Amino acid sequence: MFKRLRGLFSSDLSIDLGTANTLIYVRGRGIVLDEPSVVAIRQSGNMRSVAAVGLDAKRMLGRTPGNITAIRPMKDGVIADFTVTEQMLQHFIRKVHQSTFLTPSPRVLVCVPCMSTQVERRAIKESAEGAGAREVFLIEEPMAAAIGAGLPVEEAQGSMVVDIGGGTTEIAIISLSGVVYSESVRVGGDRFDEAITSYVRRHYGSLIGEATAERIKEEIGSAWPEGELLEIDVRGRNLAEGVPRSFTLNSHEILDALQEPLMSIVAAVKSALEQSPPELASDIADRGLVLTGGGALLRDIDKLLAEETGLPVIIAEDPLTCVARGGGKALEMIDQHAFELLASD
Amino acid sequence: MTERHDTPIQDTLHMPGTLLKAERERQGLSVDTVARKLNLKPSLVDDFERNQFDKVQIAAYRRGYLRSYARLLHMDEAIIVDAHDRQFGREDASTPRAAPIQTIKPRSGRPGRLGRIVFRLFTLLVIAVLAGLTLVWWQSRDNTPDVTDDGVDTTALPASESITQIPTPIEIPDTTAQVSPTPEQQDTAPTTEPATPATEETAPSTPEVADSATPDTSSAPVATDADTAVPTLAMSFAQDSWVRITDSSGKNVISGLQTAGTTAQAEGTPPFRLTIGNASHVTLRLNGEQVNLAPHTRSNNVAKFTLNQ
Repeated sequence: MFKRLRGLFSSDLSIDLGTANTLIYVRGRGIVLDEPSVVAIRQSGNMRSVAAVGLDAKRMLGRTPGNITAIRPMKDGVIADFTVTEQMLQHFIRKVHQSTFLTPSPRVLVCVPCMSTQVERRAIKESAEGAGAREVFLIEEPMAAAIGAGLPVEEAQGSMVVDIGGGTTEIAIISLSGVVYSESVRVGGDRFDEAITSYVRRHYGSLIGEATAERIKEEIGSAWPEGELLEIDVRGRNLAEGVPRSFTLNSHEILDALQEPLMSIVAAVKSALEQSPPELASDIADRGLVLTGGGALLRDIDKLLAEETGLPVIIAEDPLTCVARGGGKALEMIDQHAFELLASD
Repeated sequence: MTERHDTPIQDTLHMPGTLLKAERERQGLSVDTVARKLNLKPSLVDDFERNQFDKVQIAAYRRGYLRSYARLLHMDEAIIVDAHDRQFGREDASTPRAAPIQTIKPRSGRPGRLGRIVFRLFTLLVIAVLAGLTLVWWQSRDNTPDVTDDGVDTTALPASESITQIPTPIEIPDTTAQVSPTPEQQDTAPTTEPATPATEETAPSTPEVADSATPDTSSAPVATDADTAVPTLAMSFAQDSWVRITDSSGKNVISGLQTAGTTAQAEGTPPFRLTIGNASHVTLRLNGEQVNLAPHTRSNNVAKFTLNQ
């Protein structure tokens, strides 16, 4: 009863609880929050308290003193630390309801990876409930991504969406508001960063942090050898000498570093195409596939997939927010009883 | 979505297909090369360059192809997309078309915000009023008068009255006998038990004072005799009065209309249940002590109470 009352003062939310970033779409207002899924925990004796969440916490990654730990509570698209995820969600939900004087109790739609297990889905649902949600709906990420990209999910036509997130890459063929075939590989932006880190260690004998690897990827990362050669100056700790050293990396080196995770994604896309029913395969061959998620921002990743599959490849508009926007649209459709879009527990 | 043959030349120059075609020709690329690189059919690329987009019905794909084409030619995607939007608008850009979606208009500006605040304040006000009413009701419920089984409203009586009817006959005689012995009581009341705190309040009052002023103390000496002898009720009637007195066994000791100027006496085992009509003209004595009927008399001049309970 009290929750319903608090619900009067809350807005419906769609949350893209991603490994790298958490985005919140508020019904009627659009994307209102886009922050890294990072929480800094302060440990004093046996007491653990949240020191910072989101952007503030991400700045602390790799730079924390002994009593503070900056952690990413999501791993591979699912919850790795239940309590911290709950606290992070609570923080974000309060942040988007800043103006209200009652504790918010919104209806929440959360996106889940399509290959996540029942236990993982339940954990996400309970975590959102623990963070104060009045009602929790789940939707599979590729479905939300397809809606967000504006694909005709409700029509009897095959649409293929490849959502390259921080922890996972979700590939799905969608028709008639349902997922016909889905494939999920635990390769995403994080794996790209790891690949760059290990490449630098192997070839330059230097150790670079997570944040530096991400910066390299964003600035000169590329998935296809065409195009101009870009360079970046990087500083890392030389393992042999033990002192910081500066060196220059170019985009071809990064392309080399990213080959393994990129090939995993290509293999998964090809596998999905092989598994698709012939009618839908024909639709996809005609229209192509749509890339969403932060991974779609990697330079020339569309060219790589186009070359490898021989299909037209489109990068969705504003690919980072596709899932959250799609979730928001699905939330609006809940009132129209479009429940078939939602995922079961 | 249809070809616009009648479009002025100036407008055609700013159409996405025209812009793309001009750039492609400037770079010396053929339609086939572009189509191969984009994995699109050459006829589709040709249609795009002639600003014919009706083969691609879905806006998301249409805009996606245009952006891919622009990227291939190293053009600014935004210019091509803007040109497309000018032609087709953004309405169909990214909404699933099958079902109409109920959307809430973004609340911008002050009035919407103000309205929301007013709505919230109003809701809180309603809740506060409801809570207040509930509290008032709850308190009034606690103060609801309790009615005894004989119909006498005990809360209407003075506090001392309701208290003095409760003491047991054993305790009171002891205290009265000890603290203020009177000649009448000395032969009847045994001096045994020490005084209890509850009865100390009644002790200082003498029987004379009790008779005239305080009815509570007058009932105390009456109760003293009840322990030792059979209680006797004596009534004298100044006017006609209907009386019914029953003792503890339920037997009527006096019943019926008593005429003016008569007296009546009765004995029985207490407690007595009395119903006395025209009570203001009746004098009641229990074991010789007058009982004040006024506190028991209701507005219709009928006294109904239990004596020596």
